[in-house]
Amino acid sequence: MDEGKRILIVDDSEIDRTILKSIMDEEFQVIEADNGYSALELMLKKKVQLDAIMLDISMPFLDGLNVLQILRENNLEDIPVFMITAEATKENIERASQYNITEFIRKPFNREEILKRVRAKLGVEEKAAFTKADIDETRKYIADLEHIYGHYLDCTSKDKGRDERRAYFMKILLAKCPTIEKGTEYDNFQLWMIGKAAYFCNIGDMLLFNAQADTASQAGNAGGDIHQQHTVLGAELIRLNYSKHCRRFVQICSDMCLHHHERYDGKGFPEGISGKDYQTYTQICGLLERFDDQFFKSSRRNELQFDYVIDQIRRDSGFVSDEVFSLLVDSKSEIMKYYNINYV
Amino acid sequence: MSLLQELEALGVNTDEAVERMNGNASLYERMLVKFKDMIKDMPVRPDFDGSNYADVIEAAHAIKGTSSNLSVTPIYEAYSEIVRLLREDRRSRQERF
Repeated sequence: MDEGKRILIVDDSEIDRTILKSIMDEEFQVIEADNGYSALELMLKKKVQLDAIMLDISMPFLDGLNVLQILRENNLEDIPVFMITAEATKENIERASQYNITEFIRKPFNREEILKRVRAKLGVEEKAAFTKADIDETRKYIADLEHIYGHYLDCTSKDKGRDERRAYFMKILLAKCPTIEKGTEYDNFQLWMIGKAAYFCNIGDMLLFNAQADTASQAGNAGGDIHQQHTVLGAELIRLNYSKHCRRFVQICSDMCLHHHERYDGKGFPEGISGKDYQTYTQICGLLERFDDQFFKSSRRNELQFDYVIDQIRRDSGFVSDEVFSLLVDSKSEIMKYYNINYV
Repeated sequence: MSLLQELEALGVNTDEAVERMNGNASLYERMLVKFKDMIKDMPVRPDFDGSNYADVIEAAHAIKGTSSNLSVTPIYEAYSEIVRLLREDRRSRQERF
């Protein structure tokens, strides 16, 4: 966030104000006012220094244009003003033309467009996908989770390598995924982070009784309440981190915890989501879990077994999207290499 | 079926709205609850015997704007039409008197 750039959002609608704040506070320091009088008090009485104002044109008692008139009378016309409106009517444009308005912002808000325009006006460069604070805090959160989850795995008879294999293969498959950006250090951090998220997809097992947890996360288990509980509990556990710096990891990891037993055709659990609601990375996570169950547990870890497992999954049409399935097929050489299996 | 899936089935573009809020689905759900209260607290009941429609148009206009931000398309479309009709009616009344 650019702490130096401060923006005042003036809108009587709490909902619209909150949505706009959620867009702006990623990059700017945001102050809110729910009416024109409060905005003027901030600027004229409290002398709050602002870099821009986002002002709703239509407000009760003192509308946006009246606020501008008072600012003009107080020689505060130089502050860039982004006028918020649901519609640019002829009347609004005519009235607004008397004032020094930087831009009109139409509802519904277009996140990227708004940020682009405000950045351009305020001379702010587009921020990196992750700030240093995002990276540092996310790494710390992941390390804390690893410590706790590792301790849990040590205390149980679970196959510790299962989560590690899933995380490792996740990065291999993602590297082949055309929709995942690659190349910059931020992209590398994102790949690492998604791999770690896959590692924790069964973390909800920690919150079940031992006897339940032994069977809960196994794909292909007959299912029922226990099966569903480990997904929901895992997502709830991950979401207990409310830091905005960890938001992206929390979003991805909780989705993987909750949905890694879903299916592309909507016949999975716990929510029966399907199609585009089933995130690509979570589909990969679910696919890898199933692959590992069928491949690693087999006494014959060889190319023939790989082809057999792939064929079994292929026959189960609707398990994941064709694109995600092909990522696994295309990763055969890397998976063979991981298991030291000779493969030509 | 989750709340968002049910809304999607009713024509609400939940994906678009959640994306607008930087992927924060729980914020979106909280705003939907507030929107429900907003509609309840802002009844659009024109006084057909009165000549001043300003407050009613203001309320309808606010609901229209917020419903567009929440991508509640059916309500947005309905209120777009309500705002248009109210404005037309106000204009014709002004011309008459």
